[in-house]
Amino acid sequence: MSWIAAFTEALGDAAENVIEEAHDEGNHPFVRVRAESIVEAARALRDKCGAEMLHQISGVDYAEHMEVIYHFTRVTRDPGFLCLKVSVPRDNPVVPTLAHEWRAANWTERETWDLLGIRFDGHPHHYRILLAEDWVGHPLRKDYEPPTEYHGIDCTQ
Amino acid sequence: MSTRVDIVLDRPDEQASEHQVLNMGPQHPSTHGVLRLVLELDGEIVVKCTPVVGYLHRGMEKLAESMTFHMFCPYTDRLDYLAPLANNVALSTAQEHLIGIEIPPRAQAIRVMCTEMSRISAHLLGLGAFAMDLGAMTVFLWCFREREKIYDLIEHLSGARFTTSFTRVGGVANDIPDGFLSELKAFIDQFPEQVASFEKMLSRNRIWVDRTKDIAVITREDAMSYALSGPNLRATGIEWDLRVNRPYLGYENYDFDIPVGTVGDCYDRYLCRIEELKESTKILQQVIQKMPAGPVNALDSKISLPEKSSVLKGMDELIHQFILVTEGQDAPVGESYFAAENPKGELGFYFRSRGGGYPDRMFIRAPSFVNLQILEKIAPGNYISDVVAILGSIDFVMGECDR
Repeated sequence: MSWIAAFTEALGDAAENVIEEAHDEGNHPFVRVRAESIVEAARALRDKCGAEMLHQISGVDYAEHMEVIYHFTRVTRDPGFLCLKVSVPRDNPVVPTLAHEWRAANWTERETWDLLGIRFDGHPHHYRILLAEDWVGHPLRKDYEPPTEYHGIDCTQ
Repeated sequence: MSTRVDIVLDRPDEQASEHQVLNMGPQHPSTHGVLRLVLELDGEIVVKCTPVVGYLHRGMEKLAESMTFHMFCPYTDRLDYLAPLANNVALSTAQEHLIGIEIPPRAQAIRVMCTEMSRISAHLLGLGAFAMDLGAMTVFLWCFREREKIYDLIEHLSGARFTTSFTRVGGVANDIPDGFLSELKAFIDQFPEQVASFEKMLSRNRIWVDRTKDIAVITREDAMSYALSGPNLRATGIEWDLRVNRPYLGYENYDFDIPVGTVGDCYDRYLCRIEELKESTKILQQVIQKMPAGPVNALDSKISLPEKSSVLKGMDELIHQFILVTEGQDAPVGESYFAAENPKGELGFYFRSRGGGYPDRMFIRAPSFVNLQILEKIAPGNYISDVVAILGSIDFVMGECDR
């Protein structure tokens, strides 16, 4: 049984409300879940499907919407990578945080906020991490305009 | 308004603490690069440790969006700059995973050889710097002497000692030069003796043991929660190595063990690295014995660059060369994630492609970035002098952490 089938089974009756799309083919299978249910979905993935590690959170900016990608690792039995995705609107991208479930989510969510401008609701330390605190904009957005000047440093050359 | 230090300390302005705040880095010799730690001290004991990263951020993920697959390869030299060859291999293998091609057995064996040479060189530096931070200068010099030999080998192989950019999509830049394998054999024949001498200097050294044993213990649960990888994870007793658990590049054909720790303290992390040096030597021995013959690039003119000599004579080859260099490999629409077991841990590349030669989005799962988070958990409760030991035992590289 693929992990996607196991995951759907683990969610039980809630699966219908949680899962938006399951993509079981190709070299990058994933399940798209609703943004509000990400904590519930991630818990089910950990407790029922053995995804112990949340090893990366990142995002992609599509011109129409944004996507948060969660990569999980199953370590102890049947080693493998599992992937959840969440779609968020571009003008108000907010997702509940997973930082209280996995400590690793703390920095990776901050990085996603920093570079893509996706907010993580309930994050304990919601600040930029790689860029300076007074930086304007989120560089990995497709419509990002780099600054021409930063604290007297000319950035045009 | 909150100032940067208040943000770092995560407390409002008015709420002053009776603890002393000590800023360590970003220009501190034992933070190995531009890591900054904000330590709150009660006397000599650390009560809170907040790592601050980002001083070396160069926006590599953004840069990658305007580059063909080959153009990004030199940037990976500057990720974990102690193991550039291993990064090259991870990047190219991830790109091939996206495009969906297999590379010839000889190219695979060369890549395995590159990764293991890098692992030895990176662990030697990690171990040497760790030892020097705790006062064992001799071990540092010995490690660097061995590293010098590896750099000579890498120079012979790729033409560069440091910024190698050795791999290409579909294979490697050039075949192994004449006489290289015998040089490598000469190195690995004398290497176990050197490792034994490091162990002799450290493993039962009273000062070393006192400074590392039972310091900064990482439990299995914490390691999972913080998503550690590499030797730091294995030192906690979790047997997780992508070379074994999700084999790539034919690693399943080599016979080697995964060293794991029992306690998860600084001493276990040191022992794991020492054992990995031996395991890498074992793999290199097998690579030399089994090195298959054949081409070192995939025989697909839409993927691999043609031989330079034929580009100068043949029409087809010239066209392929021109298209591959200007437009890049035509990747299918879709996405992929590939992770390789690098010296520091799991280095992963996610690609999202809309077709064509440029990735629409690439992200780098940098092991040092994820591993560093655990400092906030393990540093408190230790003496300030132990922070140096903890940093040495975590063995991170800021080039990779900040990207």
